[in-house]
Amino acid sequence: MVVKPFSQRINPEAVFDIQNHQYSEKLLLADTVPANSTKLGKVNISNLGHFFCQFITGSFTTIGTGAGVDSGISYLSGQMIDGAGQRKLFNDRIPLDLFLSPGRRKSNVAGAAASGLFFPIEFEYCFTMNSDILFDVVNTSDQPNEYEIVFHGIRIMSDMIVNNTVQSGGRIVRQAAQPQRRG
Amino acid sequence: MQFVEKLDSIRESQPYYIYKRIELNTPTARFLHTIDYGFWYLLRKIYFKYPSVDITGAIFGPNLRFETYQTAANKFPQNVPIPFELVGSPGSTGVTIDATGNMTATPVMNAKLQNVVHPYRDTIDIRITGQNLTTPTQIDIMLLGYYLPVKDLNMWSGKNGRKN
Repeated sequence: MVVKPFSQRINPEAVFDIQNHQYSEKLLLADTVPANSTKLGKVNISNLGHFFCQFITGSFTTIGTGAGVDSGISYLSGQMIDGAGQRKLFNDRIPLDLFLSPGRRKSNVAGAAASGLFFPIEFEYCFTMNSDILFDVVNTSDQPNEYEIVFHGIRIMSDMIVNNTVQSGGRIVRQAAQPQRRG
Repeated sequence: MQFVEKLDSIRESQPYYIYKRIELNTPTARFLHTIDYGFWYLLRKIYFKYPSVDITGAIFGPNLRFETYQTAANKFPQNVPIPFELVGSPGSTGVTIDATGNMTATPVMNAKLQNVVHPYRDTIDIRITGQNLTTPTQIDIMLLGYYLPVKDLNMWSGKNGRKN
């Protein structure tokens, strides 16, 4: 059986019209947590519009105690919080290796090889524009450890931004957010 | 295409990951978590992680199994306790533990979809059984799921979220 790559003709104008309102976007949250301490990492949802997160992926280092060897032990635990209203999305701090893929990555110090598997984990939530995604992380190692998380989702442009984009010939103009009109 | 009007209904639910570390000192241990009032909990996946080898290479192979008990429905939705590795990941694959209880970081993998809805105030009860001959076994359990507000309760205004 021959598989057709496109089941129907693509209408570029219709596609661009959709992309002017919403498009796939990725937000990176990266931070370094000092030794034996906690740190609140955050990434801002800009005023372009709401961000509907669908999946998260991430990696982190496992630099251990003593001489700073990559011990492979999971030292980082974190709790995800929606900055709008401080709504907690985890019940507690969770070890990063339980929900981040590909997970442990090879650091530049001596140690065993990192993992090569990759499995994005689902995390469906709509973060409102102008809010922050907060990530409260504790590091139990006596060496600093780093982590990086990517939030994969859809940016849903506000009507005001879309109208300005059309009027300015495709150039996105950033303005202060206005309340959404409800139909 | 998602519209802003739909977003309000999407934001009603929220992801809620539930994590606990359990120590298996006896032949049995339990994971208990009571759902908050006002929310159903849609359990999507269960992730398990536990060591079967300590840092010195000694193998104690606990061969852990679990069974869930649905408190509100008063039933066990399985015939016998099930091995962890056949439901979630990473199980004991590549996991070692040192004397202070630090487990190695292992890659998270897929897990079987559960799609079980727990009513509010229900208690998620996971009963773990296994043989542990040498070292107390630390078991990390993470539930991946969503809180769904029960919109006809007074705490949500009792009118499906509407004020009037």
